[in-house]
Amino acid sequence: MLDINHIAKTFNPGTITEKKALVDADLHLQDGDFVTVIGGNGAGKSTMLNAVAGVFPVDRGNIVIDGEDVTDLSEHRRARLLGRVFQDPMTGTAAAMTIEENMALANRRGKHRSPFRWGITQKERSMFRDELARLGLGLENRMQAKVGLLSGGQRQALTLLMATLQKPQLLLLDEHTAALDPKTAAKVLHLTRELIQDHHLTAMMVTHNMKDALQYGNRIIMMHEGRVIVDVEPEMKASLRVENLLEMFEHTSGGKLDNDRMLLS
Amino acid sequence: MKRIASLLLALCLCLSCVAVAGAEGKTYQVGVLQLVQHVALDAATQGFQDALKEALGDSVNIEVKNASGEFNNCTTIANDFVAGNVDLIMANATPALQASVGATGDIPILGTSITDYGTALDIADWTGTTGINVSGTADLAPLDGQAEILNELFPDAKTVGLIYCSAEANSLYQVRTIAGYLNELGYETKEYAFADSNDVASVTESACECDVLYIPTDNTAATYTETIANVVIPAGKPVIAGEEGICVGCGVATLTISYYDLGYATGKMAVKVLTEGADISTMPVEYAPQFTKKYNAANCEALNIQVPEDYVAIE
Amino acid sequence: MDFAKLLNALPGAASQGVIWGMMAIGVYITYRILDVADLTVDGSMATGGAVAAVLITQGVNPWLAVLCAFLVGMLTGLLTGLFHTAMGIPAILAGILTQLALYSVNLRIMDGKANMAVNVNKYWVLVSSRNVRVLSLQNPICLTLLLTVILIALLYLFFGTEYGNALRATGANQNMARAQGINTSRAKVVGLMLSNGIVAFSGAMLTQYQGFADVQMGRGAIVIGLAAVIIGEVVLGKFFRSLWGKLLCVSVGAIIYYFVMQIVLWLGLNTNDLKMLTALVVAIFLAVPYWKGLAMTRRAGRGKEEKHA
Repeated sequence: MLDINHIAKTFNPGTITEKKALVDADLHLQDGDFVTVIGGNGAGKSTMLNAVAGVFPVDRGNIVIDGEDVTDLSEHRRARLLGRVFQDPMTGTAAAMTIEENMALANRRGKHRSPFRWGITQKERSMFRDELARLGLGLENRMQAKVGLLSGGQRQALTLLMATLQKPQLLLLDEHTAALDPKTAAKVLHLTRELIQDHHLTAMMVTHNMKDALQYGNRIIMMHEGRVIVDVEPEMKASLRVENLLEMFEHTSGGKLDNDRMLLS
Repeated sequence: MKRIASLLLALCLCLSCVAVAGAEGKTYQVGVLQLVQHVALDAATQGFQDALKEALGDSVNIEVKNASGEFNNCTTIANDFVAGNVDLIMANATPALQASVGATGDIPILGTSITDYGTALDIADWTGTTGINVSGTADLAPLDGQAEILNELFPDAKTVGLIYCSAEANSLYQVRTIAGYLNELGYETKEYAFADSNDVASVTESACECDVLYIPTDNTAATYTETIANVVIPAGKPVIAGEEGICVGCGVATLTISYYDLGYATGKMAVKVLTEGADISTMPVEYAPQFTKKYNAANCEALNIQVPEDYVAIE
Repeated sequence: MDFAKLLNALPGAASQGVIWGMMAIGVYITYRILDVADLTVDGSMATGGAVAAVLITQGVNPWLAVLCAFLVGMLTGLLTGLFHTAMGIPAILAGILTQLALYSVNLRIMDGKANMAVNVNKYWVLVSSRNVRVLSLQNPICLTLLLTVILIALLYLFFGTEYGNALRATGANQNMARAQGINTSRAKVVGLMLSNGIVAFSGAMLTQYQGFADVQMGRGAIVIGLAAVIIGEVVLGKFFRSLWGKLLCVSVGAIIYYFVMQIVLWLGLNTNDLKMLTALVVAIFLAVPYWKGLAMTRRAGRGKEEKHA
C-alpha cells in the first residue's frame, strides 16, 4: 500500500541551520497495516509523514502509494490519496467556517470543485448529521456553528471524521492527541481505532506515548537520526513491552532514548 | 431601498430650496477648487482672489478648497460647492475642471492653469469657446517663443532633450508641440519621461547626453527642480524652462507667463459673469496677457552663459 | 453652519460612496476572505477607468465598456497572482510590482495621455455626478445601488458553491485547504482576479461619474477600500453574520466614509489638513475594535479575580 524507498531530506542545506531530517528512511506498509511511529527528538518522524503528504519535495528516493509513484506530485494532488490529522487542532479545520462547511470541503477531497455546484447539498447535510452523531459529542446539533468555537478535542474528532469521509488510501496521524488532555486524548484514540477498523484503513500514527504505541496498531517502528532503526512485525508486536522497546533502541542506536516528551508508562 | 433613497433626495432638495430662498441679500458665493498645493497654482488662486476682492469687495465670499493632489477629493469638493449652490466655481488645474464639469451643467465654471481646453473637456473642434457652462484662462506657454529663445542662446547646439512627467497630460502636449518647432529650427529632439519623484534623477542623468535640455510647464518637474539641478549643473547642461518656477530651480532662461496675472485675468472674467450676466458659454478662453524673457543669473554664471540685454533676471 | 447645504451635499457623497463601496467589496475579497493584502488595486482602479474612458469616447456601449474594464481588471489580478504564486514573491510586494507596472500600462491604454475627459454632454454614460440631485432613475444612486445589490448577490451565490468554498478555505487555513486537495495557489490567483475585476469595474463607473480618467486616479484607493471594510465592520458588523450582510456592511462603510469627508468639508476645515483627517478617521475606526477587546479582557480579568476572592 505504501512504499517509502530510501528517501532523504536536508533542510536549509549549506547554511548554519542545516538539518539532515531524513537520511535514508525506508518503510513498506501492507494494505490494512496500522503502524505506530516512535523516536527521540528530531528523529524524523513528522518529517517522514510530511514527506509522504508532499509538504516538501524529497532530495532522494521515491514514494509509492497504492502502486502510484507520487514523489513528484504536489501536496494538493496527493490529497485525494491521503487523510491527515495534525498535532495542532487548529491546523486540520478552518476555524472561520462552519462545521458543515468544513465537512463539505473534506467530502470533496480529490474531486473537481465546480463554481456551478452548491458547496453543500441537502443530501450531504443529513449524511454529515449521521456521521457527527457517531462521535457522541452533540456536534450534530451544531452544524451551523463556526469550528473556531469548538474545543481542541472536538476539533480533532471532527478532523478525523473529515479525513475518513472520503476513504483515503492512507491515513496520516501526526501526534494528533499530543495537544489534548489525557481523558480527551484517550477518547480521540479510541475513535481513531474505530474509524480505522470500520473503513479498513491503512494508517501511520506518530506518537510520543509508548503505551499508546504498543496498545494501538499492528506494527511499530522506531526512528533515529533520519532512519527507521527498529521495525516490529505484527507477529511480534502483541507480546512487546516498553522495556523491550527501550532495550531494542539502545541496542541499535548505541545510546539512550532522548525525548523530553516521551511517556514511558 | 430605492424608495428610501428618493425620499432622502426629496428631503434634501426641499431643504436646499428653502436655504437658497433665504439667502437673498446679494453676496456672491464663489468656490475655488485647486488640485494641489503648488507654487504656480497658488499664485493663480491668489490672483483670482485679488481681482474679485478689488472689484466686489465684501459682496463676494470666496471659499478656497484644495484637493491635496487626490483626484477623488476633487469630486467630493465639487459636490460640496454644488450642494452649497455657489454662484461660480473656479477650477484650478485640469482634473479640478473635469470634476467640476462632471458635477454641474448649470453653475458657471471658470478654469485656470489649463493648458488646452479642447483636450481637457474633450471638445473635438476647438474654436475658443466651449459652448457649455465653462470658460477661463489657459496657461499655454508660448512654445514657439520658447523654441526661439533656445535658438537665440544656443545656436550651435545639436540635440535637445525634452524632460517631462508621463503622469501629466499637458506636458506631453507641450513636448510634442515644441519638438515640432525645434525640428524646424534644425535641432534633433529626444523625449525623456519620468513617472514620479523616484526616477527624476536617473531620467535627467540620461537626458544629459543631449546638448541642451528643455522642461515644459510640468507640475511634477516643478516640484523636483532641486533634484534636477543637482544633476544638470554639475553636468554643465543648460535647461530652458517652460515657466518661471522651474527656471528658478534648475533653469537658465525661460519665456514666461505669470500665473498670478493669469489668475487675475480669470478673476476679471468672474466679475463679468457675476455682475454683468455675461454668457459664459460664449466667452472665449483667454491667454496670458504678456510674455517676458527671463534668466536665472546664478545658473547662467555657473554655466558661463551670456544672455542678451533684453532678458530680465529673475529675482 | 448651513445645515441645508450639508443635506444637499449628501446625495453626492452617497453615490460616490456607493461606487467606492463596490471597490471596497473587491478589497474585502482579498483582505478578509483570502487573507492577502493586495496593493494592486491602486493600479487596477485606474486601469478600469482608463479602459472605460477609451472605449466610451470611441462610442462603445458603456455597458460593454464596464464589462471590458472588469475583464482587464481580472488580468491585472492574474499578473499579481502569478508574481505571488509562480514566482514566489510575497503578496504585498507582488501587488506593489503590478501597481508599478500598471502605471505604464494605463498610460499605454490612454495612448500616452495621463488624463482623458469623458464628456457627459457628448457620450452615453451610465452615471454622472451631474444627476445626483435629480429625482429620477437617471440619478446615479439608483443604478449604483442596484449594481451593488446584484454584485453582492452574485458574490454570495459564488461563495456558496464548491469552488467558492475552496477559496474561503484557502483564506481561512491554507494547510487545511491543501490537505483537502485544494490547489491553494490557483485559488489565490482566482481570488485576486475576481477582486481586481471588481475594483476595475468600480473604476470604470467612477470615471463616468466624475467625467474623466487619470493615471493617478487610483492613488490611495487601498486606504479608502480598507477604511470602508473596517468602518463597516465597526459600525454594523455585529448585526450581520452571513456573507451578504458583511458585504453590505462594506458598502455602507464606504458611504459613511464619504459622509464623514463631506462633513469635514462642510465644517469648513482647511483642506490642507484633509489627508491628516483621513488618516485620523481611519485610525480611530481601526482602534475601536482593539479598545473594545482591551476593555473586554480587563472586565473578564476583574471577574475572575472577584471569583477567586
